[in-house]
Amino acid sequence: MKNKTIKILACLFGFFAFFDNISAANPPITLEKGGYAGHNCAFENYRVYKGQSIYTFKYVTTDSNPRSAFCLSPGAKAGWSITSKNSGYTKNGNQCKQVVLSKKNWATKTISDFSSCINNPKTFECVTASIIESIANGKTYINDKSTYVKMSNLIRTAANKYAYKEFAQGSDKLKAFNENISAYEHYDPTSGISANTPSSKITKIEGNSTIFNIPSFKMTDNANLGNVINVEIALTNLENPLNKNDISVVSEVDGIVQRFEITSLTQTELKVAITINPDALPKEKTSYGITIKLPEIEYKTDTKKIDKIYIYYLTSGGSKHQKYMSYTLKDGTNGKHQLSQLIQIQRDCQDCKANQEIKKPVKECEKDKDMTTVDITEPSLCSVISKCGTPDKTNKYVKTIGTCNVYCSDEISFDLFGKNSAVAGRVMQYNIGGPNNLGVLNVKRSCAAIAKNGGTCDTKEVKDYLSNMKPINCDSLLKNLDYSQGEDYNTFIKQILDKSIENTFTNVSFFGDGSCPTSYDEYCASNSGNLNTCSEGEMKCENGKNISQSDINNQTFTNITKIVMETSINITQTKNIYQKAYTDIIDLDKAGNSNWYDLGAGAWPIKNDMKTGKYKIGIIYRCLGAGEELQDEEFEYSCEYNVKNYSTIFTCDDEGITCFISKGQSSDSNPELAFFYRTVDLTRVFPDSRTTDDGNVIIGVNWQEAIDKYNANGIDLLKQVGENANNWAGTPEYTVTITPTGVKTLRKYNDSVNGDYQNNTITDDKCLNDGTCGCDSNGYCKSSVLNSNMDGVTVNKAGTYKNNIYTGGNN
Amino acid sequence: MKETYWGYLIFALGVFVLVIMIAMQNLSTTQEEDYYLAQEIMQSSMIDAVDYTAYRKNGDIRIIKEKFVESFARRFAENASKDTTYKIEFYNIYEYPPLASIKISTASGDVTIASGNSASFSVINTLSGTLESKFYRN
Repeated sequence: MKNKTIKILACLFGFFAFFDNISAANPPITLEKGGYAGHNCAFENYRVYKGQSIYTFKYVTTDSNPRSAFCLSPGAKAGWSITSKNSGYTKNGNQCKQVVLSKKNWATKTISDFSSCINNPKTFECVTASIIESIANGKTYINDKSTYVKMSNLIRTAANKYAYKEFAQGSDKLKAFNENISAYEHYDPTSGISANTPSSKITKIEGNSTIFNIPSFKMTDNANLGNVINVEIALTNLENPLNKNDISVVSEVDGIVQRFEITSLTQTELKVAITINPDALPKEKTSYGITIKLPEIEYKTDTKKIDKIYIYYLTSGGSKHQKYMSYTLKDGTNGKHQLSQLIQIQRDCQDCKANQEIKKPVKECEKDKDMTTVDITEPSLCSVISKCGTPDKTNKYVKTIGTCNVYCSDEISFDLFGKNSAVAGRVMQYNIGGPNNLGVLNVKRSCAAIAKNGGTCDTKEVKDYLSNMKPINCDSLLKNLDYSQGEDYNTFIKQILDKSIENTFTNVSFFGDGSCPTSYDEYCASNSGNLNTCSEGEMKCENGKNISQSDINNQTFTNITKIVMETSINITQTKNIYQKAYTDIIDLDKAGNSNWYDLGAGAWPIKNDMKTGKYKIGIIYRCLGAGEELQDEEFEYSCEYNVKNYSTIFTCDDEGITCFISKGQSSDSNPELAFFYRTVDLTRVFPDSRTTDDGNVIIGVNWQEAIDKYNANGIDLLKQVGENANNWAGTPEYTVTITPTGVKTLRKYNDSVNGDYQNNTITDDKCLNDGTCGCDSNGYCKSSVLNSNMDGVTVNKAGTYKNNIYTGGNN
Repeated sequence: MKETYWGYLIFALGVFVLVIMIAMQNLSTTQEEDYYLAQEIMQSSMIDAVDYTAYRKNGDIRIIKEKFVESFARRFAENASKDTTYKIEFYNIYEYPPLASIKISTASGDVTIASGNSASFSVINTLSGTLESKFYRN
């Protein structure tokens, strides 16, 4: 049975092979002497050169303007591509023409991104590439076209292409190859690194060459720190095998390489696995390098070879190859090469201090004119509470800053990369706030750009943004940048900052490349005046006219190599922010709503628990050139704003009211709170130990104020508290019973919110089973955690409301 | 023969005393644990419950009752024993000035003494606390 099956398969294979040869031997189209359908085509005779699935018709025509297409019979053209050209030769004064038929799908199959083959190795391209690669590695060496016949059409075509590459590297068969194959297609499985850009015909035989310059490989995804970096190096035709002991890894920072393991070392491949220890990376740096060093490699010289280095690393999920690079090492004679590969690791700044340079170069704005330092007092508002002990609430609104503006300006210079280079985006990135680990609520990035017609970015969109302050396509402009502050957006921050960043350019100067522009008008204001120089250097307008800066965003900088301009950025927050009592929710547009308090205009997005200190508003200028790599040209300006959080530091001295520090407490309380917890006896809230030698009782400011207020209403607060002291047998305000099941339920909930106890559920957007939500107008609020649905937890509130927590509000 | 009965009696008394000792140790340990747990949680929960809006508005150091109760329950469950039922009662919560009293009742569980007879004890802790400014007026 088994033998029978094999025989059947063999027959089928033979049938198809026969069919293939038949079809290849019969051109689907012939040349029609005299043309067809009334068209002219003059030639004496023609010859057909049969390649595998490539037919080349060569003929000599006496037409002064021969049109080969008219010579073709209207035969079976489907599936074939037709090209015609002059052969470059003449015969008896007549032109030698040639028409080439080739299978269409042969020419369209290329592999532009070989990395996809790692995950999809069974695709057509990858199978083809794999076979070619095996050929290259010596498993099947093609030395003449007869080998091709044994292969399928597809593979054969690819092999042709590969052969091209082989010959391009110096094969002595180049000449014969050129003469016999008149159509060339470049096939390079290592697309993107080829130095041999194919031409229509090979014209140059490259001599011995050294290895390619291997650029550094950057791993920029922070999520991958700690995961394995796999490096594969394919080695072929080594004269001698490598020794494991000669392979090493060197890091510029000691201890960052947690693991370096040679997972495979054979005559043809080297695989190593590296793991970086994120904790060992110095916090003050954002980039680190490790180098894999290999010994000198000696190649065999009797065969051609292609050596590749594949480098990739796994994502945190471990399934995708995020980066893949390959390099082809061209052969040399008796080549001995020292190989090394630098892997550059980048990550976010981990411990950015206030004055730390995150990126270089950093320019500080000049203090006298260029930078304004803004004091922002209190988290989430600009008002200052500077009095204590005053019963009149209104007197506590001491100061409102109004708008918190940060103004920063300097001269920036943009170099244009060649007069035909489309500088599509000059991007400014604003990072509002500071590192997240210092408590900044969020960051906001915006962008502005100078664009040029013809760039990959849409000039109009960029222009619209500059003129209308609309964040059009900023994300797309910025997508290639390294976000040092993270990617998350906060809707609220976006709302208050979108329209409040102003960016202006003034005093623009152009530097010419030595050529005269096509029009002076585009540079000189008021459409008059000529540029006084066309030489290389700064270009200025005649007649006292200024270079126009009104429409620089839409210029075509034909003859400009550099633009220098002054820029200023004014970041203003003018919105009024409101905070809701009981819930601490912050929102906009709540004027006139009960329980919503206006925190004043100019509030900044800062967390409640943001520590007192200096924070930066970083303005980063970066260049994005269309079709170019991200340039190193980058400046960062750092304006500062100071935060004084009065809930973490408290003083009564500002407004002339003297306060003293209670016994046992510290005045240097940053970041401690300005109040402290004390276990008390209700009958003696302020015991004798709080009485000074002169008979005064030390009572905290908040208690003193409360006592004064109760007294104003005829109530002795301390007496009232004392009367409650023996009321343990009475009805409690709340009773929460937690069974062992309830303990587990609550722990599970705590885990779900990452143990954040300030993330309470007393919020407006939480609804309960009774259909009512949030706090009512009297300040009765509800918890969505402690309700009847919490398994194992029973809550009782004395009075009307059962099974939910209510409060008497602002008592 | 009489001496044998004396032996049984002494053995029974020994077992009885041992059970009583275990029960008392259980009670005292539970009470001490509950007290310090309550003290720490009371402090943390009151700070969690500070009404920052009121503080920003007029400088009042004020807490919000339901925030306090919710935070207390969540924190208590995080640290309490998974084998015990707790009854937490909140008395006389003042939002302004911050002041609260709690009573925590813990069932110790049944203790079998002898002949299938069992007894249970309830441990009760009470605690009051406040948030007070570090500053005072002269």
